[in-house]
Amino acid sequence: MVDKETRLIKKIKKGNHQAFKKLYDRFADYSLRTAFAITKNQSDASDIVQETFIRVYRNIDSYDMSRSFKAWFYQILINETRRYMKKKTKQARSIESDQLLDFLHQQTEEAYHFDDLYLAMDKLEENHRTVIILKYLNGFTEKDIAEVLELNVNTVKSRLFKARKQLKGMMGGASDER
Amino acid sequence: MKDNNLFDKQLEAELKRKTQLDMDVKQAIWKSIEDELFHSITEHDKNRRGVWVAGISLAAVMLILLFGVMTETGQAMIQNLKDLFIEEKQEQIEMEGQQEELDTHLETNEELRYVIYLDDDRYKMDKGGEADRIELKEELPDSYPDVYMEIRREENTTTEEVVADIKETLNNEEMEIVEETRTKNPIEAELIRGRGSKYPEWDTPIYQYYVTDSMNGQVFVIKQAYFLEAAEGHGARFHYMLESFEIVK
Repeated sequence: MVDKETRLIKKIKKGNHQAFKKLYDRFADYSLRTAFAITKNQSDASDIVQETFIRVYRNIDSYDMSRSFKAWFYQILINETRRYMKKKTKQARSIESDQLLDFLHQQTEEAYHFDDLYLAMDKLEENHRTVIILKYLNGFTEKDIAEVLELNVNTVKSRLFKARKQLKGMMGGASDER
Repeated sequence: MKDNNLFDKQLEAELKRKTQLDMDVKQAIWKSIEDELFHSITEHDKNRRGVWVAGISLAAVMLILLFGVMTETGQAMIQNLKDLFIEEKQEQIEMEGQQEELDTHLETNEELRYVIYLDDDRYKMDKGGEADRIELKEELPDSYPDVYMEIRREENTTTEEVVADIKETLNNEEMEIVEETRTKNPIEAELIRGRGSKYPEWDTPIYQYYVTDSMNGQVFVIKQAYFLEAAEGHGARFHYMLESFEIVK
């Protein structure tokens, strides 16, 4: 799989468009999901993914083949998402307080309320939301996340811990992280 | 612990479920990327050419302008292929154990439909003969054997036929065939290496041929010519340049 990816990237470095299309097919789905999970807006997610792939193509020569391509790619995606979101800060949607109260009142003792996942995710700090998405949506290890976000692994662990605790608390379970 | 696992699984499943998007979106994004990266210059050129041609009709200055139109059209065709690739690239290569930065420049041949990145500090491309030839910018004294890399396309033939012809040529030139193999590096091809009978001398000529797989009766033949002492220098540089060789369908 990695060898195949390496060959593909070598071809892209030579300027091969078909290879770039293959790379797009391989990464488009989860990059789109990731951008959508962060922005909650399909149109924004599309713009971010489009810009990410354009940046990847234009900067492919600066990609160091000894590094993980996936980490390099997601680094660009996350940076692009942050840049885009910053630009849109003024339009950012705030959570209606009654909406929040509604879902907090719906908690039962046993089950988690994943119907309100986005609402709960919205309450997380951006840094915490991103690590949750990279881990649970993209299946990244803590080490992968550290590489993408250029953080220490312990910082990633700490953010994941806090984010899960907060999410569990908001989604109806006891925040019993240990 | 069990509760944590359940939460993790639910969170993963729910994130995946909630982020499922229409496949059409993916296609639409690709279309935009393609337009931005690969078509924007072409469209611009087309528009520019349209305006220019209109101008010519209006002026109606026949002969010189007609020549001008032909030249512009020819250039536009070559630009087409050029627009598909980055114009300049910097490569990191290893020469005699040392890392070296190499500035390369895109060379295209619209008719033969191929591209290659040329180390234009040391070499130049000579087109228009039976084959395109990458030659030294600074010629060597006459006492030195030839140094060049030649690219040509053979039509209505097969790889086997071309390989047989090359072997016959090498025999006629009294070159010893020292290697005949299938290779993937620097390109996927049949490799035939011939060496001058006067071996080992500093100036023993070496001919290295790469013959690509036949596609619609067409075969590309790349011949590298250098000499023993230059194997680590020109031989290695030809190798790196050939890595960038692409046939464009």
